[in-house]
Amino acid sequence: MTTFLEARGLCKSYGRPPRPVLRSIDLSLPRGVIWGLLGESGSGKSTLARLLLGLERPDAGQILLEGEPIRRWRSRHPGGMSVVFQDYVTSVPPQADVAAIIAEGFPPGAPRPDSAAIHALMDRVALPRFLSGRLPHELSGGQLQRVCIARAIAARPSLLVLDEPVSSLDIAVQARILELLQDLAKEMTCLFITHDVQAAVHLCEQLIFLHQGRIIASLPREELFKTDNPHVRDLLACTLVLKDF
Amino acid sequence: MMDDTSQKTAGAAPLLEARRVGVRVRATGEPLVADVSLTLYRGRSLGIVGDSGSGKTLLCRSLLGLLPSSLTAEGQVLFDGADMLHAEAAEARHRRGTGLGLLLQQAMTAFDPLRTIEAHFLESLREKCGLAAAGARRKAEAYLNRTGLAADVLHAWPHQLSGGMLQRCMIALTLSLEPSVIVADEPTTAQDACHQFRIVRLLAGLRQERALLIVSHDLAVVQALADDLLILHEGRCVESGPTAAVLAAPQHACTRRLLEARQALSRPFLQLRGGRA
Amino acid sequence: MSLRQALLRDGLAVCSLLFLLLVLLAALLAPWLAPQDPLAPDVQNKFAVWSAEHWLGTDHLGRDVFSRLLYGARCTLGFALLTTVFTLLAGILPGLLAGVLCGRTETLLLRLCDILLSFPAEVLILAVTGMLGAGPEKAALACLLAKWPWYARMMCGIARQYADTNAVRFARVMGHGLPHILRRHILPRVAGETIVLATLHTGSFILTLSALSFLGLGVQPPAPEWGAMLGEARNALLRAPWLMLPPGAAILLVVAACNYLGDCLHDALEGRCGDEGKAVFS
Repeated sequence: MTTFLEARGLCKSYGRPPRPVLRSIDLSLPRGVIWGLLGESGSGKSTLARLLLGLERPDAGQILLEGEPIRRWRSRHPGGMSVVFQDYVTSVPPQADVAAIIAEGFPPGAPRPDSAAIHALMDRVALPRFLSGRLPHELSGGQLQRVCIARAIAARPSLLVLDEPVSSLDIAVQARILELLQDLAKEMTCLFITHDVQAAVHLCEQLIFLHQGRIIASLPREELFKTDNPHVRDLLACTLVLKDF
Repeated sequence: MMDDTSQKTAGAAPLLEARRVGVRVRATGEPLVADVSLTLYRGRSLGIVGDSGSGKTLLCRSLLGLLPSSLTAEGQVLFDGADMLHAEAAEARHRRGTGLGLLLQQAMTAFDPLRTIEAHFLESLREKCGLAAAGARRKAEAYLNRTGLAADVLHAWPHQLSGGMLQRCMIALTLSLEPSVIVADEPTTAQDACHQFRIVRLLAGLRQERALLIVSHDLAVVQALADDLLILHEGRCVESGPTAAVLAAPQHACTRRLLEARQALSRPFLQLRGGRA
Repeated sequence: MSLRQALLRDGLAVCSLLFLLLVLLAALLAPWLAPQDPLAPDVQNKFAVWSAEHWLGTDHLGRDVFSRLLYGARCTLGFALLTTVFTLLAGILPGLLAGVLCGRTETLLLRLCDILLSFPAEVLILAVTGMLGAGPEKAALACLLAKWPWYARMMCGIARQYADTNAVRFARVMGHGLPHILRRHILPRVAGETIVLATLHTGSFILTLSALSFLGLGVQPPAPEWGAMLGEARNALLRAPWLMLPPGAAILLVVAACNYLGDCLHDALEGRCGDEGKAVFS
């Protein structure tokens, strides 16, 4: 396995006086693995995602994709990285219909996708085709998140960041979206950000735990319950499951 | 609707009783909630479970007499001898807070951003309980401590606190008015796993002394909190009964689907945990 | 509910719209509609009252007031619309760019706007026309200079709000460029607010340009223009006070129609947002 994404010494602070959110993060993600990034709210998960996506610049440290800085890598691989956000409502332009939203997921410079390509993507995320002319506010939360996922995988990205993609959905819908992602994420390097250990072990082979801006544990899924780290154990203890009845 | 055994265990008269409550769109007459009845006794808790769009939140709001003017309610909600659905606005308002307390999903927008947490406590306690500043402050501190917050959050502004802390502030504020019934509408949904767990534990500790109505889409949360269960589907009650009984032998397809989805979500986690033991 | 439906529901808004369209049409067709030559003097027949020959009478040089009103609409409305369009372009483009790019571009633009906005608009317009000299195009330029920072500021704020959404973040992650983000995400969302502003401001530009012509700084005689006609009528106020009525009423009605239409568009857009809110709620 070759290293696909490498981050060294990432630091990021916000506000005045500066409040550190990330303190020296080192990451090395091999190609084709689904990674889980876990932590409580405020641990710096989403900030790290924004840095890795090139949406913000780190205060210190650098990020390399296949040995290149993000901007250069992105200009050479248009549509090479993609993202699904937690808040699906603000993730789509409200005046565009489903087909137009999904079409935006095709890489810039590529020819305009025909309706067959859009329908094929809708099939992959199990969205009925008759929805292709609907506007976002006419869809349910689960349907809209499926639209966002279809848009995100349209360009077959090498890196897919999933920033809490199921946290705003009903439990019943969560399970179905996770199944879908499990199926789709196999082909790419995928970073699944969540606070929910249950959702993470559903999807991820490797788990990274973040606490107060630092990586406190990085382990394969099978060793999750063997760790001694108190914060990880805390997170495990907080996980709410149905008791036997 | 309620099972007979639960009535016997509670013994006393019901605290809150809803009879055939319905909610319609005023303009079109389209029913959003139809024909839901429920009874809540002191020291018991009732969970209302359903998908989004099943009418959970509207049912909650109608119990408190807080429907927006574009909707109309029918049926009866009896609380403390008054019908909350048809009471005068002032009367319904009088019973909210000290009688019926409400916990919302979005703590972020529940506080006035221009005032400190303390100002919220002082105003509510003065208006609802007639407490002077010093007494109100003591009470606020006591309840904040119960929710695991230090007293100095009183001097914080809402934007200085995290979502989880604000949620606990809201719980403390609601509890400090000592309502006899707490209506909690998805109180854990916007929270991360740890905060969710703490809030569930906090609410579980409360239901001994009061009556709790918990609304959620998550059966695990409801199982941890509710003695009885009411499943809503498309605005109608499709199943109800003691929690353990409903979960052990779900009758309606909707209940089975909710249960299966919840189990599917936890399966890999439980397998890993089981593998360790 | 669409914007059009919301608008059609309000009778007065439909009337305003129809009236404005009618005036525009009349202005365009002035050469065919006008019964007389607007510039031909007939001193024998000056200050004539309303008659079948001169529908609205004649002015101090005996020119037909109705014909002058029709040709004046071309000038008044034409320059007002041109000013609106160019002010929109001059304000919106830098405003949107600054709002989307943020950072130093935004700070620079906003400070520049602050400086320009610190002059009262009327004083700035008078100063600019004073420097450039009289003439309708110079008056229009003065209006543009006085008003564009206002648009730029407004659009900067709106664009920043829309640029800070996940939809734009997605487009940036995909590697879509600035033109794509402006075209797909920002412009469609500011279009409604822009139309409202443009409608309201066309009214205010008509007033400003007419006022400048009234003062002799805008359209020069003998060209017909509503403000200039009002100015000429003022000179004959004691002899023929009714001459103030046609140009005065024309300005009043057109500006009122613009303002009412702008208000209605604003309400309709608000209502549309309200409906979306309700859909989310239920």
